[in-house]
Amino acid sequence: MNYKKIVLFVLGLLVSFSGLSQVPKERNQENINVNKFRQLYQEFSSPNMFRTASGAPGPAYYQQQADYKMDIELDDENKRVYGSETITYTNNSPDNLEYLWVQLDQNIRKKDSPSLLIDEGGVSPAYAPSAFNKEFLTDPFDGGFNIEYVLDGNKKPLKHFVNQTMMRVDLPSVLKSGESFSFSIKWWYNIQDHVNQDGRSGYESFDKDGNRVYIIAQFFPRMAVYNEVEGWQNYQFWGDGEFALPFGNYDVKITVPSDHILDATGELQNRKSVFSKEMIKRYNKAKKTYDKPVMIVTQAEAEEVEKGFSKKKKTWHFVAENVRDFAFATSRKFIWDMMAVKIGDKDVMAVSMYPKEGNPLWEDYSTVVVAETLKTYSDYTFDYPYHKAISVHAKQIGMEYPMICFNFGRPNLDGSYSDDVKFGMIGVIIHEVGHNWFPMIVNNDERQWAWMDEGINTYVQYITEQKLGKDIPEIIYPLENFPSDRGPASMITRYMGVDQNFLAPIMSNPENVYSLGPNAYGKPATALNILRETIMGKELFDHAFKTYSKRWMFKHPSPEDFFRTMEDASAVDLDWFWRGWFYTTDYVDIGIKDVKQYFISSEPGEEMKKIMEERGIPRNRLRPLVFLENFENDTNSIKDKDPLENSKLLNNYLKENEVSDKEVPKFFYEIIFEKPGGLVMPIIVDYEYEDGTTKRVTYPAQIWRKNDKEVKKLITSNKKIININLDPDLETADIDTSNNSWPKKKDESEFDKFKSKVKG
Amino acid sequence: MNKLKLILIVFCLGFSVHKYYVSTSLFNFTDSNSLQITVRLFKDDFKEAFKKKYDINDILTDKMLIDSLYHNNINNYFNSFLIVLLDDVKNKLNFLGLENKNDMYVFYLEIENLPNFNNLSIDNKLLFDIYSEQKNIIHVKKNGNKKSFISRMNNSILSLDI
Repeated sequence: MNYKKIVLFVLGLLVSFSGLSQVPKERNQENINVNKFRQLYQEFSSPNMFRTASGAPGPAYYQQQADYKMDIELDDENKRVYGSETITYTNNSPDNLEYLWVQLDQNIRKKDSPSLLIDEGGVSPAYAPSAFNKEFLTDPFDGGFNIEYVLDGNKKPLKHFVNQTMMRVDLPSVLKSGESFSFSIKWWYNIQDHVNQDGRSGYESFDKDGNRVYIIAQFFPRMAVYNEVEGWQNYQFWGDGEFALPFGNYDVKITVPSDHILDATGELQNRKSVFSKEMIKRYNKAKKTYDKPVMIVTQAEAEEVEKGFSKKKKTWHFVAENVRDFAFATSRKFIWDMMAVKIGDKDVMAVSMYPKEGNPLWEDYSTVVVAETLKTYSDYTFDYPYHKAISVHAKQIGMEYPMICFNFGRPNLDGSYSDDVKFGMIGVIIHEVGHNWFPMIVNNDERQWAWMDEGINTYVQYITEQKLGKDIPEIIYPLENFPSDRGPASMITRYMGVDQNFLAPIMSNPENVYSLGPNAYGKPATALNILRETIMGKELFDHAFKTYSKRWMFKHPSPEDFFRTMEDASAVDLDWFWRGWFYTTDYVDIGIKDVKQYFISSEPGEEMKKIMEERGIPRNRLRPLVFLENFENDTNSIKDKDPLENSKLLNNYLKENEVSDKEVPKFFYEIIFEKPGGLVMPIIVDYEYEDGTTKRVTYPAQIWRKNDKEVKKLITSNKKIININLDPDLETADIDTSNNSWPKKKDESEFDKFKSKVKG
Repeated sequence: MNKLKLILIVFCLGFSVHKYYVSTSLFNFTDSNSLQITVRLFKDDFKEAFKKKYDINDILTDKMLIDSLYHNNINNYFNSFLIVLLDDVKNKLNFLGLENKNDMYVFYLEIENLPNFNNLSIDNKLLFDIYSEQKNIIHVKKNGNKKSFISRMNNSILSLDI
């Protein structure tokens, strides 16, 4: 028996003693399983033939298809979009459908839209004149779709009914499983000013030259998703919950003033008729240029064109395969640059379009950042499958569509800009280009689960930002790391520590949470980062994350599909993590409650004596034992002496028995860790010894499985421990670090730190 | 008006369906009988309000604000819009300085040697002069107890019996 077993034996003895003294007076009532490590059987939907228990699509998995053929015209003078579209809807479900639901997102801008009425607001004792004007003297914007007709394939009117942002189209006969149905819609709407009237798309007016930049999206009636999870996803569009859209092929012709520059989702079909010869030459050069953007339209050329206002028209023709949406941007103000990026063995074009107001920021960074984003996201998920990714400059919008996104980052009028504007712009471009993966390709239901694309995407955004800082250090010079504002654990503690009345679980509909930013972006992104860096390790996490991305590429995943795949591909049980971080508003707070120090003694210590007294055991009736005594009771000052001198019994035993040559420990530390926070996390501890060395121990989260409030650990050593620090690298999102050290460090508040800094 | 900040918070919701004008301040009563106030304001909001009040037409950089050049004005600014009453008596805030954190400024203010008091009232009207939709979140911490309140234009005063 080696010494370790002896220690265990003695401890066991003590435990059994103390166990005897705790006879419960009253029996507890039965309880249900509230263990934080119980599996998520109640929360998760049952696995089935559509979605398997492993988190992969099942053998009966299906998804609907919606193909669009559209003719669009943008009227620059009247700020309107006109369109006619033919939708071919294919029912791949096993169900027969009696009606279809079509989304009319623009209807949120109707004058009588209920979404204008759902936010509370009281009187203000004072108003700025501009706010007063907007509030009381301005008519609501006359937006929303004007539907001119809904016709079937034989040009016969189809019965339809509009409920807010959803239109039900009644089918002449049931659409059977496996069949397709084609119908046409003609419509128009007024485009709103997204700078002054908000929105995810619209126009920005440049008063000086009378020009506008249009970024046009959610601009056509779009099919809702039908699947085995929701049936029809026809939850109204109130403004915060974004979109759920089926995949399909698009054939779109867009007519705009002939002096406009336009780009859109899809492959341009008539480049020769919309490009000048010079532009084609430059474009061909850009296709072979991998190191820096090539200008297709220069600033000087754009400045020349924006002096005019052409009455002539030009039609741009795009075809996009396997996309879930379509958007475009058009203006005579656009400067346009492109470069090629190698993704796998394919070339992808990184593209930027911006008015001169975006320069010099945009010509310097936009396309380069798009290229870097395409590479990093491809590395961590799957190779970017489309042929281009466009970043369009809009004053204050960050919004994503397949192959095209709108991004903020506007320098001052004199061209100067702060680091905040620069890094804000780089961050938003990475984020919105990254949305091509989540949700454009890994196509989750944003209307119900914002975190599935926003949170997951913000996590990969963080990885990409940090990688960009390493790959292109001159962009962030003199900083050493990209100043990410979401990702690291320590950046989410403020949010997780706020009053519980202002918190909702991540697993909430985006319309009903208190602040969507930290709820659907920051917290899930941080949770994934913690999984990667602390719980699972990078290798396991990256493999599982890639597995999820590939499994659900061009499909519709549900939250369970993500949760299950992450476990399935890693063999790390994560139910406790999903439960705590995604289904509750609990926070992390782990602390050191107490540390007791012991040394080996020949005689029973105070605690042992107490037990002997309680049990009526005289000293001479005790078997030969190695005793531990608390430092506080070291009346003979023997705690620093050789432990074998302190216990002749142990010394003799070790001599008589063949034991390991391991040194007998001098010091015994009993550490009580407490957990005031509801979340379960690993306990990461640095034990710092008197000789200056430090030992890092990570107790897995499962240490809390039998006691959620408090756990003890015994540490033995020949060197004195002088400091114990919990979560030394701030990787667990512990919201209160004042209980993280022993001996207790005087926890200087942010205020005190600042005060001592300014007062010297 | 630059609405970048709301985009930074609600990121891809940069379309900003709901505008986001929020500040947070922590009122911490220490064991050493002082009130430490930490106020976080979006940089562009503060600069706009500050320039308006003191008729400053130049560009204000972080450095100009952090260095002591404008400290008297900042002190005055906070004492005009952030009123702390202890038993109905107004207490002057002592402005210690500010720090630059991402898109926010963190302001540090203090009242030392507090008298005994039974009632605390905080009237936080910061930025109400420029945004009618501004909301100021107030956290009060005393003896381990925490209380939160949102100060709005039509309801800006938090009153607590302690």
